[in-house]
Amino acid sequence: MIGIESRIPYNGHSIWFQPMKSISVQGPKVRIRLTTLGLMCAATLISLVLFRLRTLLSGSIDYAFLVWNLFLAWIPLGLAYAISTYTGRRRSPLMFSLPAIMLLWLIFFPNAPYLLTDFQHLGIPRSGVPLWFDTLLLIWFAWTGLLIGLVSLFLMHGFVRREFGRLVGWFFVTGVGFLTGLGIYIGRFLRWNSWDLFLDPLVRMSDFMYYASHPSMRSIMFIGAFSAFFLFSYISLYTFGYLVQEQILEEMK
Amino acid sequence: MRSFTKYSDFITRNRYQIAIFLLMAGASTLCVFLVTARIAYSDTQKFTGLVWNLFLAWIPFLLAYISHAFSWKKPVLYYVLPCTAFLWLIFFPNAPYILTDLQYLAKKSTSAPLWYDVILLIWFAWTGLLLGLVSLYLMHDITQRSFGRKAGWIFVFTVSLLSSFGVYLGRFVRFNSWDILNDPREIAITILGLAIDPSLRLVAFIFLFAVFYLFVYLTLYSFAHLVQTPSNPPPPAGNLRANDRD
Repeated sequence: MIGIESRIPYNGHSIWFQPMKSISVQGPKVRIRLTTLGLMCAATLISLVLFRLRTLLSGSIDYAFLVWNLFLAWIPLGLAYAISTYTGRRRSPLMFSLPAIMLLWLIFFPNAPYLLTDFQHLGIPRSGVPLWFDTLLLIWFAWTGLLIGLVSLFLMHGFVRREFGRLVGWFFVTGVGFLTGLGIYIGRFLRWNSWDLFLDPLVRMSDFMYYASHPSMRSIMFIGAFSAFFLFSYISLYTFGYLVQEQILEEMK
Repeated sequence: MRSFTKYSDFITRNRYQIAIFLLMAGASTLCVFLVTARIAYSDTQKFTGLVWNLFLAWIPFLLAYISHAFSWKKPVLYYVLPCTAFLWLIFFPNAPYILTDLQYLAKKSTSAPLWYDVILLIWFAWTGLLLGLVSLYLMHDITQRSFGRKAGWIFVFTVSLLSSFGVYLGRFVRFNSWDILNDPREIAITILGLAIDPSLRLVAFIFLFAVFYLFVYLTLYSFAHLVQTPSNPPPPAGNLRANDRD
């Protein structure tokens, strides 16, 4: 599919969602972005198949929450793709609603790496399926969630860097990394959902102020360790990307 | 002064390799620190085995780095590389093996809160996975350079299949990497037995694990193509497309 597409000259009709002029410049980039998206879709599908297999084998619907969590993880990715695709056109009407969409992205973002903390459900013994299968099932879901989060962060990082420069871009990543740890803590231990912020914002804000002024040891440790982990994984992926790019350039010489 | 320029030259040429090495070293230090904190807090020795596993995961990583650094010299490529590649292949499954250590979460322990164990294991698992992926990439690069693109991808597929078989041998048959050097006969007989009469568990585990590993590798690989080096921009679009046509 990809191979065939690359053979067609970009005459403005073969690709459907990009502003026509920039196709010739962005051709390979669009293709790689579609590949990444395709990989995420495939991983989600395999995770779902594994879950279905589990229900067939055990006759119970344990771990059904994973499916819901994975769905939630897709929301920020979709938002990030929309933002980074449609802001290519400078004066698009979308630019005005951008702050709102970015806020929405930020609110839903922690749902993606949140899947990693679902590993703790291994601690509850369940019958019907061998342990190694559950481990693999959780690994699939968790890593799909983590990678979805990393890709959506990367897209937003690229957008922020383009608009405001490199330094602001890295401030953005660090800030998001820290807020993710906070968001996951809130989701895991206080049991709030992303949309609670819209349902009764005032109560949530006052609750949050209370917790923030009385931080527990647990919250500090958890947020510190998790934010550090998320930032580390992002930075190492980024560095790996540079390494690969350099090898490609070296081979082209 | 001249040696200084030589060193700084070396560092600029290999800056990303060095950066990844430092990142991995930092992550491993943090993992060890997390285990130490757990031991100090709970007075139990649980999870000390993970440190050993992480050490084993470092062996293929270092082997891949060394092979990659010397692979530009022809005689090395032909005579030394097969040996290091073989050693690399034997030790390689130790890196993704750490992922299966997540199943220790199923053993109830009251010595530390569950969330702490989850974070600790995630740190270890991700570090191990990444150590493996980077070393696989370096070997992939060598193969691609010497034998072409197609051979490179065949190599990646084969290695992920073999390594998930290796993880299976380590996890369920409890073999170690060095057993193949100590007692190759016994290993050969066991593998033959498994191949003649494969259990459903073997097939399912190897398939799921290999596909997972490939998925992560492919995602990282395509992700890497999205990142652009600011100092030397990628070649114009036409050039890339021309290369894809072969």
